[in-house]
Amino acid sequence: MSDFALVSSPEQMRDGYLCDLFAANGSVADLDDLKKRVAAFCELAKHFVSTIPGNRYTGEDVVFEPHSIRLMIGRFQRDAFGVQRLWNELGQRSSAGEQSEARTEELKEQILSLGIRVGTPKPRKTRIAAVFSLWMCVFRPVSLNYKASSDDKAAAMFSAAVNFWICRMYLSKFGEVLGGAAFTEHIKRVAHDFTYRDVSLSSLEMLYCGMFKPTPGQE
Amino acid sequence: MMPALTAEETRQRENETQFDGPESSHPLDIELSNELAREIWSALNTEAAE
Repeated sequence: MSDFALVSSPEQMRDGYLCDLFAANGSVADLDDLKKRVAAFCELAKHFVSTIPGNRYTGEDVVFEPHSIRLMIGRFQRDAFGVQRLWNELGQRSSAGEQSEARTEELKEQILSLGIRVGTPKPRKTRIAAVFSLWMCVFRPVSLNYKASSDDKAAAMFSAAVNFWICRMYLSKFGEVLGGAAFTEHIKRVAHDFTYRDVSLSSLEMLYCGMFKPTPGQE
Repeated sequence: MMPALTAEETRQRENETQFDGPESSHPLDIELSNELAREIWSALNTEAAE
Protein backbone atom coordinates (compact mmCIF):
# COMPACT_ATOMS: atom_id res chain seq x y z
CA MET A 1 0.00 0.00 0.00
CA SER A 2 1.43 3.35 -0.97
CA ASP A 3 2.01 6.21 1.39
CA PHE A 4 -0.96 8.28 2.54
CA ALA A 5 0.67 11.45 1.23
CA LEU A 6 -0.01 10.26 -2.31
CA VAL A 7 -3.63 11.35 -2.00
CA SER A 8 -2.48 14.97 -2.03
CA SER A 9 -2.28 14.74 -5.82
CA PRO A 10 -5.68 15.54 -7.36
CA GLU A 11 -4.60 14.02 -10.66
CA GLN A 12 -3.90 10.65 -9.05
CA MET A 13 -7.15 10.85 -7.16
CA ARG A 14 -9.11 11.89 -10.24
CA ASP A 15 -8.03 9.47 -12.90
CA GLY A 16 -5.76 7.08 -11.08
CA TYR A 17 -7.24 5.29 -8.12
CA LEU A 18 -10.83 5.24 -9.31
CA CYS A 19 -9.83 4.06 -12.80
CA ASP A 20 -7.52 1.39 -11.36
CA LEU A 21 -10.25 0.05 -9.12
CA PHE A 22 -12.86 -0.13 -11.88
CA ALA A 23 -10.55 -1.13 -14.75
CA ALA A 24 -12.15 -3.73 -17.00
CA ASN A 25 -8.82 -4.76 -18.48
CA GLY A 26 -6.32 -6.88 -16.61
CA SER A 27 -6.83 -9.73 -14.21
CA VAL A 28 -6.68 -10.00 -10.44
CA ALA A 29 -4.99 -13.37 -11.01
CA ASP A 30 -1.95 -11.23 -11.86
CA LEU A 31 -0.43 -10.22 -8.52
CA ASP A 32 0.74 -6.82 -9.77
CA ASP A 33 -2.74 -6.09 -11.12
CA LEU A 34 -4.31 -7.10 -7.82
CA LYS A 35 -1.85 -4.97 -5.83
CA LYS A 36 -2.68 -1.95 -7.97
CA ARG A 37 -6.39 -2.37 -7.35
CA VAL A 38 -5.92 -2.97 -3.63
CA ALA A 39 -3.71 0.12 -3.34
CA ALA A 40 -6.29 2.17 -5.23
CA PHE A 41 -9.06 1.05 -2.90
CA CYS A 42 -6.99 1.78 0.21
CA GLU A 43 -6.02 5.25 -1.00
CA LEU A 44 -9.65 6.07 -1.75
CA ALA A 45 -10.72 4.94 1.73
CA LYS A 46 -7.95 7.00 3.34
CA HIS A 47 -8.89 9.98 1.21
CA PHE A 48 -12.48 9.69 2.39
CA VAL A 49 -11.44 9.81 6.04
CA SER A 50 -9.25 12.84 5.37
CA THR A 51 -12.34 14.81 4.31
CA ILE A 52 -14.12 14.34 7.64
CA PRO A 53 -14.24 17.81 9.26
CA GLY A 54 -12.16 18.75 12.27
CA ASN A 55 -9.30 16.38 11.47
CA ARG A 56 -11.22 13.85 13.50
CA TYR A 57 -9.42 10.95 11.87
CA THR A 58 -6.25 10.31 9.91
CA GLY A 59 -5.38 7.60 7.44
CA GLU A 60 -3.83 5.70 10.34
CA ASP A 61 -7.30 5.30 11.87
CA VAL A 62 -8.57 3.32 8.89
CA VAL A 63 -8.42 -0.41 9.56
CA PHE A 64 -8.10 -2.57 6.45
CA GLU A 65 -8.91 -6.26 6.26
CA PRO A 66 -6.57 -7.53 3.50
CA HIS A 67 -8.33 -10.83 2.87
CA SER A 68 -11.70 -9.12 2.59
CA ILE A 69 -10.31 -6.52 0.21
CA ARG A 70 -8.81 -9.21 -2.00
CA LEU A 71 -12.02 -11.25 -2.05
CA MET A 72 -14.18 -8.17 -2.65
CA ILE A 73 -12.08 -7.00 -5.59
CA GLY A 74 -11.85 -10.49 -7.05
CA ARG A 75 -15.59 -11.10 -6.97
CA PHE A 76 -16.38 -7.61 -8.22
CA GLN A 77 -14.06 -8.04 -11.19
CA ARG A 78 -15.39 -11.53 -11.91
CA ASP A 79 -19.02 -10.44 -11.87
CA ALA A 80 -18.71 -7.05 -13.55
CA PHE A 81 -16.21 -7.88 -16.27
CA GLY A 82 -15.93 -11.67 -16.41
CA VAL A 83 -18.26 -12.13 -19.37
CA GLN A 84 -16.63 -9.24 -21.21
CA ARG A 85 -13.19 -10.87 -20.84
CA LEU A 86 -14.54 -14.25 -21.87
CA TRP A 87 -16.12 -12.71 -24.98
CA ASN A 88 -12.79 -11.11 -25.86
CA GLU A 89 -11.03 -14.45 -25.43
CA LEU A 90 -13.59 -16.27 -27.58
CA GLY A 91 -13.35 -13.54 -30.21
CA GLN A 92 -9.59 -13.82 -30.35
CA ARG A 93 -9.75 -17.60 -30.74
CA SER A 94 -12.30 -17.25 -33.48
CA SER A 95 -10.21 -14.65 -35.29
CA ALA A 96 -7.15 -16.87 -35.01
CA GLY A 97 -9.07 -19.69 -36.66
CA GLU A 98 -8.92 -21.89 -33.55
CA GLN A 99 -12.69 -22.33 -33.59
CA SER A 100 -15.50 -21.47 -35.96
CA GLU A 101 -17.74 -18.43 -35.54
CA ALA A 102 -20.72 -20.76 -35.24
CA ARG A 103 -19.04 -22.62 -32.36
CA THR A 104 -18.17 -19.29 -30.72
CA GLU A 105 -21.79 -18.15 -30.85
CA GLU A 106 -22.93 -21.52 -29.55
CA LEU A 107 -20.56 -21.23 -26.59
CA LYS A 108 -21.78 -17.71 -25.85
CA GLU A 109 -25.37 -18.89 -25.79
CA GLN A 110 -24.47 -21.73 -23.46
CA ILE A 111 -22.58 -19.41 -21.14
CA LEU A 112 -25.45 -16.93 -20.95
CA SER A 113 -27.85 -19.74 -20.08
CA LEU A 114 -25.88 -20.49 -16.91
CA GLY A 115 -27.58 -17.70 -14.97
CA ILE A 116 -24.43 -15.67 -14.38
CA ARG A 117 -25.03 -12.62 -12.17
CA VAL A 118 -24.01 -10.12 -14.88
CA GLY A 119 -24.59 -12.03 -18.10
CA THR A 120 -23.52 -9.40 -20.58
CA PRO A 121 -20.23 -8.30 -22.12
CA LYS A 122 -21.49 -4.70 -21.93
CA PRO A 123 -22.74 -4.09 -18.40
CA ARG A 124 -24.43 -0.80 -17.64
CA LYS A 125 -22.53 1.63 -15.45
CA THR A 126 -25.23 1.38 -12.81
CA ARG A 127 -24.87 -2.40 -12.76
CA ILE A 128 -21.10 -2.16 -12.41
CA ALA A 129 -21.59 0.20 -9.47
CA ALA A 130 -24.20 -2.14 -7.99
CA VAL A 131 -21.87 -5.14 -8.21
CA PHE A 132 -19.13 -3.18 -6.46
CA SER A 133 -21.53 -2.14 -3.70
CA LEU A 134 -22.85 -5.68 -3.36
CA TRP A 135 -19.45 -7.20 -2.63
CA MET A 136 -18.36 -4.32 -0.44
CA CYS A 137 -21.54 -4.81 1.61
CA VAL A 138 -20.72 -8.50 1.93
CA PHE A 139 -17.08 -8.20 2.92
CA ARG A 140 -17.00 -4.77 4.66
CA PRO A 141 -13.26 -4.53 4.15
CA VAL A 142 -12.67 -1.26 6.02
CA SER A 143 -13.54 0.11 9.42
CA LEU A 144 -12.39 2.82 11.79
CA ASN A 145 -10.06 2.08 14.67
CA TYR A 146 -12.34 1.35 17.61
CA LYS A 147 -10.36 3.36 20.14
CA ALA A 148 -10.44 6.44 17.91
CA SER A 149 -14.09 6.08 16.99
CA SER A 150 -15.82 4.52 20.01
CA ASP A 151 -17.83 7.70 20.69
CA ASP A 152 -18.75 8.22 17.01
CA LYS A 153 -22.22 6.81 16.30
CA ALA A 154 -21.62 6.84 12.55
CA ALA A 155 -18.38 4.85 12.80
CA ALA A 156 -20.22 1.56 12.33
CA MET A 157 -21.32 2.85 8.91
CA PHE A 158 -17.83 3.80 7.72
CA SER A 159 -17.57 0.96 5.20
CA ALA A 160 -21.06 1.78 3.91
CA ALA A 161 -20.10 5.45 3.53
CA VAL A 162 -16.92 4.68 1.58
CA ASN A 163 -18.86 2.19 -0.54
CA PHE A 164 -21.53 4.73 -1.53
CA TRP A 165 -18.98 7.51 -2.06
CA ILE A 166 -16.81 5.42 -4.40
CA CYS A 167 -19.80 4.37 -6.50
CA ARG A 168 -21.20 7.87 -6.77
CA MET A 169 -17.78 9.12 -7.88
CA TYR A 170 -17.56 6.32 -10.44
CA LEU A 171 -20.98 7.17 -11.89
CA SER A 172 -20.15 10.89 -11.91
CA LYS A 173 -17.44 10.15 -14.48
CA PHE A 174 -20.16 9.19 -16.97
CA GLY A 175 -22.92 11.65 -16.22
CA GLU A 176 -24.87 13.51 -13.58
CA VAL A 177 -25.54 11.93 -10.20
CA LEU A 178 -28.64 13.45 -8.69
CA GLY A 179 -28.62 14.85 -5.18
CA GLY A 180 -30.99 17.36 -3.67
CA ALA A 181 -34.02 16.08 -1.84
CA ALA A 182 -33.39 12.54 -3.06
CA PHE A 183 -30.02 12.52 -1.28
CA THR A 184 -31.68 12.16 2.13
CA GLU A 185 -33.58 9.12 0.92
CA HIS A 186 -30.40 7.66 -0.58
CA ILE A 187 -28.60 8.09 2.75
CA LYS A 188 -31.36 6.17 4.52
CA ARG A 189 -30.81 3.35 2.04
CA VAL A 190 -27.07 3.48 2.71
CA ALA A 191 -27.58 3.44 6.48
CA HIS A 192 -29.83 0.40 6.31
CA ASP A 193 -29.10 -1.57 3.12
CA PHE A 194 -25.35 -0.99 2.93
CA THR A 195 -24.86 -2.33 6.44
CA TYR A 196 -26.72 -5.51 5.54
CA ARG A 197 -24.66 -8.36 4.11
CA ASP A 198 -27.56 -10.02 2.29
CA VAL A 199 -28.40 -7.05 0.06
CA SER A 200 -29.57 -7.85 -3.49
CA LEU A 201 -27.96 -6.75 -6.74
CA SER A 202 -31.26 -5.67 -8.29
CA SER A 203 -32.15 -3.37 -5.38
CA LEU A 204 -28.71 -1.76 -5.52
CA GLU A 205 -28.99 -1.31 -9.26
CA MET A 206 -32.39 0.33 -8.89
CA LEU A 207 -30.90 2.71 -6.34
CA TYR A 208 -28.18 3.76 -8.78
CA CYS A 209 -30.56 3.86 -11.77
CA GLY A 210 -32.73 6.26 -9.81
CA MET A 211 -29.93 8.77 -9.24
CA PHE A 212 -27.87 8.54 -12.44
CA LYS A 213 -28.41 10.54 -15.61
CA PRO A 214 -25.73 9.84 -18.22
CA THR A 215 -24.08 12.65 -20.13
CA PRO A 216 -25.49 12.65 -23.71
CA GLY A 217 -23.05 10.95 -26.01
CA GLN A 218 -21.06 9.56 -23.08
CA GLU A 219 -23.43 6.91 -21.83
CA MET B 1 -38.16 12.69 -2.13
CA MET B 2 -37.58 11.28 -5.59
CA PRO B 3 -40.74 9.61 -6.97
CA ALA B 4 -40.54 5.92 -7.76
CA LEU B 5 -39.84 5.08 -11.38
CA THR B 6 -42.44 3.29 -13.47
CA ALA B 7 -41.44 0.09 -15.25
CA GLU B 8 -41.20 1.97 -18.54
CA GLU B 9 -39.09 4.72 -16.99
CA THR B 10 -36.83 2.09 -15.48
CA ARG B 11 -36.35 0.37 -18.85
CA GLN B 12 -35.63 3.73 -20.45
CA ARG B 13 -33.14 4.60 -17.72
CA GLU B 14 -31.44 1.24 -18.14
CA ASN B 15 -31.10 1.79 -21.88
CA GLU B 16 -29.66 5.26 -21.28
CA THR B 17 -26.98 3.86 -19.00
CA GLN B 18 -25.73 1.24 -21.45
CA PHE B 19 -21.99 0.72 -21.31
CA ASP B 20 -20.06 2.60 -23.95
CA GLY B 21 -16.43 1.90 -23.12
CA PRO B 22 -14.07 3.43 -20.57
CA GLU B 23 -12.86 6.06 -23.04
CA SER B 24 -16.21 7.83 -22.74
CA SER B 25 -15.61 8.88 -19.15
CA HIS B 26 -14.75 12.41 -18.13
CA PRO B 27 -12.49 13.60 -15.29
CA LEU B 28 -13.68 13.48 -11.74
CA ASP B 29 -14.26 16.83 -10.06
CA ILE B 30 -12.00 16.52 -7.02
CA GLU B 31 -13.65 19.35 -5.08
CA LEU B 32 -17.11 17.96 -5.67
CA SER B 33 -15.97 14.50 -4.62
CA ASN B 34 -14.51 15.91 -1.40
CA GLU B 35 -17.72 17.79 -0.73
CA LEU B 36 -19.72 14.65 -1.45
CA ALA B 37 -17.64 12.69 1.09
CA ARG B 38 -18.33 15.33 3.74
CA GLU B 39 -22.05 15.35 2.91
CA ILE B 40 -22.30 11.57 3.12
CA TRP B 41 -20.53 11.43 6.48
CA SER B 42 -22.56 14.32 7.89
CA ALA B 43 -25.83 12.77 6.74
CA LEU B 44 -24.91 9.38 8.17
CA ASN B 45 -24.09 11.06 11.49
CA THR B 46 -27.53 12.62 11.45
CA GLU B 47 -29.07 9.27 10.58
CA ALA B 48 -27.16 7.54 13.38
CA ALA B 49 -28.31 10.12 15.91
CA GLU B 50 -32.00 9.57 15.11
